Amino acid sequence: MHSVNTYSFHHIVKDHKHTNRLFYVLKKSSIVLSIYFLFGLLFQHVYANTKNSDNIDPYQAQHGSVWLLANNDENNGVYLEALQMQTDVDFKITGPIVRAKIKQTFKNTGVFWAEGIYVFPLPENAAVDTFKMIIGERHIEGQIKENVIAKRTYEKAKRAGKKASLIAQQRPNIFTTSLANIAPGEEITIEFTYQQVLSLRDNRYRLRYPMVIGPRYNVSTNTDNSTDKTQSTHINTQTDSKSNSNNLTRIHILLDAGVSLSQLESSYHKIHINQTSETRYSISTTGENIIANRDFELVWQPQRDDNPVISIFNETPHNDDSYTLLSLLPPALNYLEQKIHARDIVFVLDVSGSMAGTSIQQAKAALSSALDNLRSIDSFNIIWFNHLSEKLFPTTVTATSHNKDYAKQFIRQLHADGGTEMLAALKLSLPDQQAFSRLRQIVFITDGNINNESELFQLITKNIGNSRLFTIGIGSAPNSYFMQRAAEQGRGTFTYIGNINDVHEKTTQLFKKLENPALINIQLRINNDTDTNDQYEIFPKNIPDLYANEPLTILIKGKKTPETMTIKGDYGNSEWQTNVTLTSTDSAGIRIAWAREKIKSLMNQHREANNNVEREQIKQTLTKTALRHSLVSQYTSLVAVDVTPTNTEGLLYQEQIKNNLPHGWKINTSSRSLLLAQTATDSTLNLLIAITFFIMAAILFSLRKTTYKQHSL
Amino acid sequence: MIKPRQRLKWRLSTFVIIILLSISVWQLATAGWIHGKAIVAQRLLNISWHQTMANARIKNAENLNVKDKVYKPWPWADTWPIAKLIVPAHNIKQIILAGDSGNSLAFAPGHAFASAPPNTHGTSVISAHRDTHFAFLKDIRLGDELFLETTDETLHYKIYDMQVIDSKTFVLPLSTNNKNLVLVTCYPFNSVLSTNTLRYVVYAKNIDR
Repeated sequence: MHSVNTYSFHHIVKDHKHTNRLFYVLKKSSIVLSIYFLFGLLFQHVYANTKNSDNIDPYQAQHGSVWLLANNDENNGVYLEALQMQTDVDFKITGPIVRAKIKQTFKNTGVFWAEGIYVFPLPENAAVDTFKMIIGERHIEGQIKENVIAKRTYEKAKRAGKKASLIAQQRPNIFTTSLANIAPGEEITIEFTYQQVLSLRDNRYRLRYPMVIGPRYNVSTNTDNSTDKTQSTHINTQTDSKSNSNNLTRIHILLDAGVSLSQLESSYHKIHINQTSETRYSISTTGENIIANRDFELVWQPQRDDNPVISIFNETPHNDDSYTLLSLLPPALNYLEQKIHARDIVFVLDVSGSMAGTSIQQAKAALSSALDNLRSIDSFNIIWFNHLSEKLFPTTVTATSHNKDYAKQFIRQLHADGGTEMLAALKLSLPDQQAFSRLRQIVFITDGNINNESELFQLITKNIGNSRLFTIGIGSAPNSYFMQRAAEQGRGTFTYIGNINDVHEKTTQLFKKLENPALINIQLRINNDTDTNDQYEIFPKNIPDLYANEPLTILIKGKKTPETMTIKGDYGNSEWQTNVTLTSTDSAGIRIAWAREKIKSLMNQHREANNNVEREQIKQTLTKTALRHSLVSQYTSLVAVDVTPTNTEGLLYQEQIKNNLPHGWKINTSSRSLLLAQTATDSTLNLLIAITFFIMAAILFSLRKTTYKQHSL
Repeated sequence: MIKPRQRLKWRLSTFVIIILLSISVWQLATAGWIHGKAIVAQRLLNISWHQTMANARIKNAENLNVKDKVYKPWPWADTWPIAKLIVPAHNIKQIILAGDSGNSLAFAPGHAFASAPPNTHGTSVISAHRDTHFAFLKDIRLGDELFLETTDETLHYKIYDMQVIDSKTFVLPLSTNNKNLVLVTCYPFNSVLSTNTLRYVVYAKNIDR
């Protein structure tokens, strides 16, 4: 192309009348150009009415401050930074249950009466239950109240000049404490307890105490559909980018692991360990304080057996029902590998248009590596769907290397296009009324553009049978809630992958887990009763399988205290059964752990409710449950008010304690939680390329004509 | 006389011209396809929006609290209309789709799932392409009025701020107390590259009583 052009120009230059010819060429191409520009103009202005507009000056638009957002205008710029804070944390750990006592001490170093507000994170499944305010020698117990009432009580006390404090849940893992009327020079302590149930990962328990709140929490509010007016008390976090000494923290831990440990350490902070008996330890952070700019993490590893280990804890408070926690610890992996389950695994892959790009590439890579890991005793099949759905093989086939290669080749040529019709694909993977003799795992990979969720859910409930359903959501996954519920119904898990670059890593983890089911088809019997479910309320409702490295926790509530429990299941190819007897009924925190599960299940029902009447009923049950077990929930808060007013000046400055910037974070490189869409097309580029190539063709055409004429003369 | 060598060059150049022309036509068609899709889709979406609204009117009349029924603009679509954006000053009437994946944006402006649904307390974020649906944003002025027709009611907004941001570092401030609307498109408007990270963000607040 290039050489042809040079050739033609060479001849033109030789030509004596070259100026005329050049003029001719220019004239021709200018006509072509104007036609093209007309086209271009037409396209550009189909949408915008062709008003002549000035260019937008980017600096004319105001740049808002990104982190320092106060909700109401009056609070902007009145932060006096006179409050100091100190936090003391005490943990008591029994088996998987953690009870934590947090003491936040606010000190007013300023000359004005102050109100302190602190937004802080707690672990994801933490349940705050008690709360009190300590002024000097006096202890004022907090009372659980409905959100609106608690807030009103607090505001009223604040205006009356009384000391008051409030703890409220912003989102499942974000809480705020407010403390009103701190006198100049005064020190007031807020003390609250929470509890959580730990889970074992990679044969390790990890106690995580979050001490930082990412600035990103400014943004991700209101991702749920709740428009509840009681929740309009949201407060944003403020991050101090200069100083790191905003909240000094001390941590102390008493650990009763229940079993011997093979490892015990802190991940990020220096600790001092004192072993008090074979399974008990006393642990504290060394030095005076640690800076709250990265999470504290304690890791311990129990020693393992060649059979599943069952532990049972019970709490039976006076005049109350009986609460039991059952923990199943899987055998060590090397024992498990001798007891393999042969399984059928069906991969369902979404290849609709919305998966186009990195999503489908990553999903395909993950699927290929999953195929590599299949053992020769396993069988598999692949179902792909967009608005159509199809199976790769008519039925599942043995994972021979020939079949695997064929499947991999097939995966390679898949590309994302078309719409999403999930129902048909689900029907293919969950055939009606069919019993499978082997363990059947279904892995459903999608970016989750679902709108007919109730229809899908009905199908799953009806046809799941003995199959296990694992859902993987890629990208912004708008309906992760549905996928979570579907996986629960299918006794599987939901893996959410927000960052597309994590697809490979996270799916590999899941596939690895699926290879090693320890105990499947688990059945639970209490006191040898025939129908356990009628007398006891059990969470989770469908008992999932026990996998290597992931213990199972079951929470039970009943009128009578269960004395014996029988657990049955398939361990490898044989049936496995064990009896456990209850020895004590005074473990702490099981009632609260159960109540938390109950609230979670009610929240799900609240979301699924069909009409307002039903929704209101569920909300009432939920509030009642939370009030009864004095739990801070989305509808309830804890509030403590002093009786006598102390602030008679009537002046009160509100100050929010700033959160430290997370360790290793820079303010400008933090991740945002709401990804802005890609909002440009290549149409302008396409148009430009079209014009350029047409001009090139036109020039060549004209030059050719001139040179030809010249030669034929 | 034409020498054989000359003839070869003649043929070669014909061949090159045909190639150049076909590339040109192909690119023109691609650009036309992008714009054509955007126009035709709005027509189809209008139909399904009318159905959605008709259904909602019945629902509102009988005071049922059920989810809005979804009417897909074409049978294999994986998105559906959720609102209609009206900008009287710029003669704009556009149907808004659920979700802002590249898929939906080819047809219409899309509402980000992660943001507040329209007509709820919070900030609703709507994005569209700068060269198709949201090309009009470059002419927008402070104080311009927007209307968002939802299945419940038509909301009235006023533009109070415009901003150019870098989407790599920017965090959108999302209010939870007011019904806010944020329109997002790529910046600069006349840029050729589509991989740009700059965005033009238009903030509007609800001014209904």
